[in-house]
Amino acid sequence: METYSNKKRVGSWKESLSILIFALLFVLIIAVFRVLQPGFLQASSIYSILRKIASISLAATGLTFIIIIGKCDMSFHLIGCCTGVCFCFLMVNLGIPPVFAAILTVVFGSLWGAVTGLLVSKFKFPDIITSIAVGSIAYGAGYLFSNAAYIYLHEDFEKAIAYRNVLTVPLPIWIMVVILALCYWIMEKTEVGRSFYAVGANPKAAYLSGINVNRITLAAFMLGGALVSFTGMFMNAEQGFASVTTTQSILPQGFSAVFIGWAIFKKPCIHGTLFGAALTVIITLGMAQLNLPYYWGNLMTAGILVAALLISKIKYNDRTAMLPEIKQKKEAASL
Amino acid sequence: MKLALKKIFRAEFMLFYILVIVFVFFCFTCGPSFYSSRNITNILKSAGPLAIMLFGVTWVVASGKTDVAFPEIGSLTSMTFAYYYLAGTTSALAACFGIGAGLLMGAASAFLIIKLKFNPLISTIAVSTAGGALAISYSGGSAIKISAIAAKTFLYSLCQWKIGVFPMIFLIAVGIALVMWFIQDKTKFGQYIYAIGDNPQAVREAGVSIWKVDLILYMVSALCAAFAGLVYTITVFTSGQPIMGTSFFLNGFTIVFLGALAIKLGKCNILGTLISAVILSCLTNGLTQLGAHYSVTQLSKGILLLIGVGVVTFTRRKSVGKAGMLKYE
Repeated sequence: METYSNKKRVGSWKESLSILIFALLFVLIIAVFRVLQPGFLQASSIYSILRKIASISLAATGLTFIIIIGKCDMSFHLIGCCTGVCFCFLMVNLGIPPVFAAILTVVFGSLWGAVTGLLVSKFKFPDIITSIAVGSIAYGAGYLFSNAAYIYLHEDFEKAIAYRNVLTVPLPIWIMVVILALCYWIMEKTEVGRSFYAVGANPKAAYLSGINVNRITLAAFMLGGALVSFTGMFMNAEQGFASVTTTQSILPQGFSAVFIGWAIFKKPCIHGTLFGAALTVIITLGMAQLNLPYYWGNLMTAGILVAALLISKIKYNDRTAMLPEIKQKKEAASL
Repeated sequence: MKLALKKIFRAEFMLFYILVIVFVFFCFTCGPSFYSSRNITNILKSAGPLAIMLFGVTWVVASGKTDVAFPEIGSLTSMTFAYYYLAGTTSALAACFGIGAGLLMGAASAFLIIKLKFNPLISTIAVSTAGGALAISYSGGSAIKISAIAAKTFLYSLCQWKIGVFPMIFLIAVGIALVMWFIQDKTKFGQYIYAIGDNPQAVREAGVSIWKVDLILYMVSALCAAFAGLVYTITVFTSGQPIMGTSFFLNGFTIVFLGALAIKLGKCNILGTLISAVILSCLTNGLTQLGAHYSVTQLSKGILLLIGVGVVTFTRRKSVGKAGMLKYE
């Protein structure tokens, strides 16, 4: 996390500048794709893009909570694999109606998060490795549900989830809007949200000012697991069958989304992550629509991730350039 | 008597006991098909390249950083080698190209981490994504079959040899392990690795240029992964594989962290990695012979990793003590 000084923030105009730069970049990218491929972003395809954004941004929002508290999660895509299959298993094999199946799945996803969260917070396990281990177990459990085969969804199930329209807008988009609005409100306007940031900035200070650090850590991991299970459900419902490997490839996209948001708004935050997810998805889909081979999307995602990190670095250096004593200390500490 | 028992059942040797327990368990459940010399050769044959791939990562993790790019470096090397070898270059030249491509990936992560001071995890995720995409770009996602000509390479004929039950590839892994163990335990460089893992600031203030150590670590990691990718291409797959991906990634970290249970308790080390690679391939082989579901293998690996991490965490906490700790810590 960054250091905040009591002095007036010298570089504050640069923050709005970076938002402006990214907004222009966003428009520019869309314009380029529109020119190269006139069919891009038409009214008919806009919902499919938004649906993709809904999947990625929900997973990335879960990751955002974990990154805000200064931890890291390498298991969210594997938890998504497990919960997506679990959802279809509940509906197809057990005949549970979609709404209840969805609720059960979200609870199930948050339980995986709770395992990681409990081990990391209560027992002080290292976060990256623990999440890899839990992810590995979740991935194995996914195979237990699917029996290593596809679970095909009936058409009416598919219609009920991914393609159902509420007020002419598909259901996943509504769910994304509601959840992200709720998360935004919690993180920006309530005390709980502030305490997430406090734990991320300095857990010791947060503890001494009366925040239950362990509980916040647990909550962050549980939110991560719960939100990624939406991604698992949407992606499987959209393609019409459940496979354990569906969400396996969203790991770099999730990280890019969070770090692009971090680069724009100078802190990992919900609105930044949404923006980052939109940018990643539009670039990946644009590449696909230009009839380029699909690995170009991956290559671009890696490029965006590095670019976002670079941009966040440049701004960071600019601000500390005004405060030489902080810069010296930072350099000594960062090696 | 009690003291002697304590000496034998030291926590440092726990991994050997796990190995023995796993082996004996499968000997009883699978019968002679498991402990026949041919099957043991098979187990060691699959453990060899896996261990080679992870030696470099072991050092990176020991110095307190992460490297998640190793499966993609392996697949990039694999595809580069297969592509150029099939195009008609000599096997040695194609191997050089392959390992060169892997080393470039290592250099890229080192550049991002050292020069631009990115978080090691994020930069290796970026590098691995790019490397995976490049590997796919050779053929658009399908494997490049070289089964007809793979047998002509030197490495293939080398790997056909075996001494007793030990296949050559495992002996190569043991050889590399011994060299790296010597560097790790008997040279200054090896001490720096662990010192950086414990307290980078102190090492820096003692006058060691940490970036040089980091550079070497990431290059060694890439070299190991690339060489292992080459071995897999020639001897196991006999084709260039574009996606090594998730299973190597999960197995890899399981092995590295289980390795921390041996010899240097709580710290990843080369011999530990070698032993835990053997344990993991024992486990996979045995469970496959028992006809277990794929998920059982995956679940048992995950639980094994959790146990490994748990033991390491608890022993470390015990050695640190509770003085000056806040309640939440």
